[in-house]
Amino acid sequence: MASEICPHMGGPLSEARLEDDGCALRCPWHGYKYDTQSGAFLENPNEPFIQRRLTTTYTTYNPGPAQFRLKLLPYEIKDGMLLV
Amino acid sequence: MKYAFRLADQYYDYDVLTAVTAYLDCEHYAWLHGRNYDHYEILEDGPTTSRIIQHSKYLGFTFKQHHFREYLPPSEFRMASDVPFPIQTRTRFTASAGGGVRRTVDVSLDLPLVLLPFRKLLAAHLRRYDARVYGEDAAAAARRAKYLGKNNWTWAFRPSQFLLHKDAVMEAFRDEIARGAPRLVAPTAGHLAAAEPA
Repeated sequence: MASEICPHMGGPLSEARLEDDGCALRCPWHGYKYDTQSGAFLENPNEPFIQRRLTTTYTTYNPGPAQFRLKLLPYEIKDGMLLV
Repeated sequence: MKYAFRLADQYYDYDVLTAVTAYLDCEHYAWLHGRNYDHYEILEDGPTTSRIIQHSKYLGFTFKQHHFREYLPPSEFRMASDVPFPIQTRTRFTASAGGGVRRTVDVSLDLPLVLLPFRKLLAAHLRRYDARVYGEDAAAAARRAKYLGKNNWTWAFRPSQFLLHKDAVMEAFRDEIARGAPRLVAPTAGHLAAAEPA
């Protein structure tokens, strides 16, 4: 169970695409992919088309591991109800 | 034959920097606007110019367009495209009273003679197309305002975030960025926690 707000830019994760048999989800705004169990950031699918041909050196851009993590919410199942 | 017209002239309830950062956030074009664009790729980039290939879907057809784009700081953009006929656009974001932004888009089409009689139909179609695409951006800005705070552009200046012409944007808006984070509009603690990097 995770927050509906993408930690990257606030995209609507209720509209995210589930992938890898439900183990991952992909935000509809930028395609960022997260692990549904740990909340870990898995992939920015845009890096190939961004970084492949960049011809300018940006002093303000430092590509590296993204520091995003899904906000996982505690929950329990009680009497057939999901309590968040 | 040249045919020029104003495509859009509208006001939005967010600031100029919010509009500029969203425009230059190239990562969202293939996703948030995926219904309108099949493919988006940077072919060349310079401090304030770029060449992009974009597959745009109009009227059931997909056009492989080469876009030559220029950023004129702080908040003007020019674009020239080659397909299906030469198109030039000039987009300006200017501050309006009350802290909002006025967005104007002027278009010039170089139409073949055979299409000239249909120029107003084409303009109407392009206005609907623009309203749909920019409407997605405006809705995204409204959602960010709701959950992350009004005029929230801090995401754009994280070191790991790529933005076309990012150095030029940060120079043009240096004072505004230095003044700090945008005004928050009563987000909940849960919303803030969700937005914080791990």
